[in-house]
Amino acid sequence: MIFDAQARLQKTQEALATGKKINEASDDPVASAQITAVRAELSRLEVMQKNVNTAYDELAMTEASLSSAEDLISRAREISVQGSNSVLGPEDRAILATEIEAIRDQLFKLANTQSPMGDYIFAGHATDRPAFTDNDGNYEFQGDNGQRALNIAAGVTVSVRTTGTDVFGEGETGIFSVLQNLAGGLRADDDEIIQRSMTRIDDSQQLMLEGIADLGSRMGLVEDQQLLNEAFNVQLKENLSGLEDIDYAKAISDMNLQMVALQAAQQTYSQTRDLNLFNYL
Amino acid sequence: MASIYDVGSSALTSMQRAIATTGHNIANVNTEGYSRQEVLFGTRNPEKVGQVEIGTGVEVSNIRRAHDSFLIKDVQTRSGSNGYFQLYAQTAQNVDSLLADPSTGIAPAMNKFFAAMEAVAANPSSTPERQVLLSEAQMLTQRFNYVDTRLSEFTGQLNTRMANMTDDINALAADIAELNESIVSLSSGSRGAPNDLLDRRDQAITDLSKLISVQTAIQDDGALNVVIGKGQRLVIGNSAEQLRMALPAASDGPSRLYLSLPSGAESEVTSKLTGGELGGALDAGARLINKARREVGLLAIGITATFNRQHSQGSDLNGDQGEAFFQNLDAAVTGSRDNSGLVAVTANITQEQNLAGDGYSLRYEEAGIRLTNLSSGDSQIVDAGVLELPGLSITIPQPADGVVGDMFFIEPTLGAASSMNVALTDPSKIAASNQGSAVGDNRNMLSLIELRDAKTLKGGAQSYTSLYSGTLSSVAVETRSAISNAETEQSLLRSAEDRLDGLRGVNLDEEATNLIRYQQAYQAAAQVISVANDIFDTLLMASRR
Repeated sequence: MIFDAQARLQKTQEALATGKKINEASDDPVASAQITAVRAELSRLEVMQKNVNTAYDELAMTEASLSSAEDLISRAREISVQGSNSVLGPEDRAILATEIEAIRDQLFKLANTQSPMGDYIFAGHATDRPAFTDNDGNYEFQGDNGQRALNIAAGVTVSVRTTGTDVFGEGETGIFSVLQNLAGGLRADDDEIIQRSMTRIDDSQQLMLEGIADLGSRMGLVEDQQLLNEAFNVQLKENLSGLEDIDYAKAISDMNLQMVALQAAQQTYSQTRDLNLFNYL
Repeated sequence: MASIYDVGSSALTSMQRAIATTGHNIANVNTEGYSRQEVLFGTRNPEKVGQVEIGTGVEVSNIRRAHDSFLIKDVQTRSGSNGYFQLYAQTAQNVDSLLADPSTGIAPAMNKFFAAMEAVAANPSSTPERQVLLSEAQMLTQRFNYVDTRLSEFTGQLNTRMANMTDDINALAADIAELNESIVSLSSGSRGAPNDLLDRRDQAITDLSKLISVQTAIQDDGALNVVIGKGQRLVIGNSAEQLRMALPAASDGPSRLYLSLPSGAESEVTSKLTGGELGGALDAGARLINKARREVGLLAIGITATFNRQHSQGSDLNGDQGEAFFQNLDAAVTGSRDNSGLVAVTANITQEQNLAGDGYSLRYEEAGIRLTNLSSGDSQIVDAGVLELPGLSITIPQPADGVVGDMFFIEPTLGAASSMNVALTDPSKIAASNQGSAVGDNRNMLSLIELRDAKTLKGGAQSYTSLYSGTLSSVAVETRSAISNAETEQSLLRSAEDRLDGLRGVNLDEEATNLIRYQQAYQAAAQVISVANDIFDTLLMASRR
């Protein structure tokens, strides 16, 4: 009897010291199994949030490059409008051509942006080589259209890269070729080429803007998912707490009751131990 | 005529015996299994003197022990159930702690393994993440190895305890047989029941019922025949059979128990020993431990096969097709120690996704070849040749002469977890990309990650996660019910013991009262003799010349 009372008291004291109702699996086997499942969910969610951060960083990096690229294309468009003015002489046009060529080269560098890990971010899956090559003015895309996806929640993936040709165009209508042709047209004083290049620059700008918008919506998705994940995290932690944390008020009152019970058992024992008829004979 | 001396001395003698018995009770107040003994007095036969019958004194007609065979049987039955559930609950708790523990369980290791895979998916061509993945994979397989090894150690511990129990059962059987002989010889004639021997025999039966379920049948001559488990005769009169525990037929196999027969032969009784701690140990081994080992083994085999298959669909950093990530596992077939060696059964896993996680035994018998499902206990006769079972194919040779009695154990999943190992050592060989694609491709790694929740096991019903959590919950539920049963049985046993104790226990106050009573009677009887002496002196004086 005393032994049982001591054991119960000890269990309560252990729970108070650790703050947990369940200190070994056998205290409540079914709840322990549930706790294991909840902890696994929490761990997965942690990984997902890490991916969320990685995804956001990747997308932000792409956005920075594309934003600069868009500025450059805008400037090129201005120059092309300037250059289409028939008032300008060949020397003026030559100056403009040089500027166009400089913009083309900067855009080319942006198209071959590398991540901090060394990946060429616009090359699709072929991240170990530059996305675009320049063979004496012949611009080619040597990446592929692979999309790198990351898991940001159970069943939710997001593409964190943008394929170079989707924003910089390719072949004759790609921005590099267009600017190349524009520069050539300016130097050659060829109005037709200049006009055609202006239209193509508009198209290129449109493509770039669409790419940036798509990127923006992906970033929005990632931000939303982070909030959803965080809310889920809070809920899971509440579940976990309900399963394993003790209610201090109840535990303390249990402990007091058990101490009283133990004292009563001990006193009863010591009082009845000596009651014996033989003491009186 | 019976003299006054005779009357007086009969009282003295009877009271002396009564005091001795009271002293015996007091001396045995703390003896386990002792039944309080009561002295019953009876008058001696009267004598005819003239017209009247004169009483001739007192004698001790019987020394009766406070005994109720119903209460004793209750205690014995309860001891058996209590013993069974205590052992079963203890084993269940050990298995449950092992599987659910955050530092030894498999679930935390799986979480880290998949987290490492996500890191590679985020940066497929980078080497550090790949190295971490390989090391987390090794931690995972080591965890599988550890869990299976510990479970197998539990079996070893149970076997050791069963060996001790077998020795105890044999010792008790020998005691009971000896007590039977003494009781029978002392009970013959009109000598009265040998109370202390009866108590000792009752206690031996109670000790025995803690170990195994017991039925007793009292014989006319006073002997008690004992039957254990399902009708296995242990003690008949003064002869006791012996229980022998043999090495398992195959390593990791179930223990076998043999009981000797009066004819001198032996019969295997493993499936017939139920109840008590021994029954609890046999059931816990077969149902709890082996079931957990088979499930964990199934997960090991499932992960190995499905992961390797998906891995081979990708290409690594060198552009080569993915090699085996984990070492391939296959079904284990072991032959019994006593086999003739004339035939060999082989088995291999055909579709791991269809494995049910059961173990089988194959036995060449007179009537045919018997296949037993070790998990469910069902058995049937099968033909020789190739036998297709869910996910498994067994090749059974034709029986030949001398092959009857040969037994084989086919365990596709039991013990597989101990053999799980990572085969890949070079991080660049992790096939994260799809085949024919460039090194920045992470799609195969994403496909590998999907395996966690893909229903690839148990015929498409379970995923890695659901299989493990299913195993964990079923062990948890069994543990909880075992603990609850054990607590119930323990309190039932205590009440039965209290009731028995209330009847037959020695109450020191009662004995003290009796001592005083008998002592007073003795003193009074001594007075009677003193008066008889005076009367005789008076007579002598009167007849003196």
